[in-house]
Amino acid sequence: MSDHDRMSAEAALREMDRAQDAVRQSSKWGARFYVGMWLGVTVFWLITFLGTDTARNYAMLGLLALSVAGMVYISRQRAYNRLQFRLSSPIAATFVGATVLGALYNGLLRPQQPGPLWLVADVLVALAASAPLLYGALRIHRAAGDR
Amino acid sequence: MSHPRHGLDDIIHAPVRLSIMAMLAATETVEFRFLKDTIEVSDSLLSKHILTLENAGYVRVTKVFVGKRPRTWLALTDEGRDAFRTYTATLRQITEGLHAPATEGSAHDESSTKG
Repeated sequence: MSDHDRMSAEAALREMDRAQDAVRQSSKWGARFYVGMWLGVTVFWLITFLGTDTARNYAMLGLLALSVAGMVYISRQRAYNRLQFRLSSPIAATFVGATVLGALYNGLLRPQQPGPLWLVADVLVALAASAPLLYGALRIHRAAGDR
Repeated sequence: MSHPRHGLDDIIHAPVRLSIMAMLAATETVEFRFLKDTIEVSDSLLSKHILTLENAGYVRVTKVFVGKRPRTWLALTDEGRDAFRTYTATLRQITEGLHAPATEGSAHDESSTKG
């Protein structure tokens, strides 16, 4: 196609849709990245609270592997969706804050031999600590689906 | 009242440059190879059109090195984003027939926006 081709307004709008669809497809990987991180982090906290010492060690290794995979994904990205770009800093900040709170809960509040109510609290803290990642996944997924 | 097609920005209203602008408008920043693969044009043709957009002040080009490999990132400037917004508004005006009398009786010709 050359510059000299006649292009109707309808063809121009179609081309815009096509180009922007490619960006939307690419940004779906951003949503998948957040979903992967959300699942990994939730499982990590549940194992940290409820698992055995060996399971905790594996969970820590798993979280490290997930973090490395996340950094590789970010460094290999070739198109940064506007929403994802805008959300990344607040989500990262909220996630770090929630992780610190989770660690404080685990180290300072939670007893060595927790009763059933503490188990409910464990699950709630695990879900709350990973909630920023789920929020990011849902926002990007919804934006990628919008036309 | 003049036909809205006269308001179309010639710098944007060319197939390859329109694709570039549309993709950049939906993103914060895009790598050169991603654009090339998606728009399906050669390096040289894409570079030529990017230079046109850069000279018009619509696109900002940033070159970075990852190790020894150069990577070129492109983003719309504020001026480019405004120009693209105006361009899409004009296109919609044309396709939705919001302009006055000039279209009557020659709808097909009116939607052809070049030439």
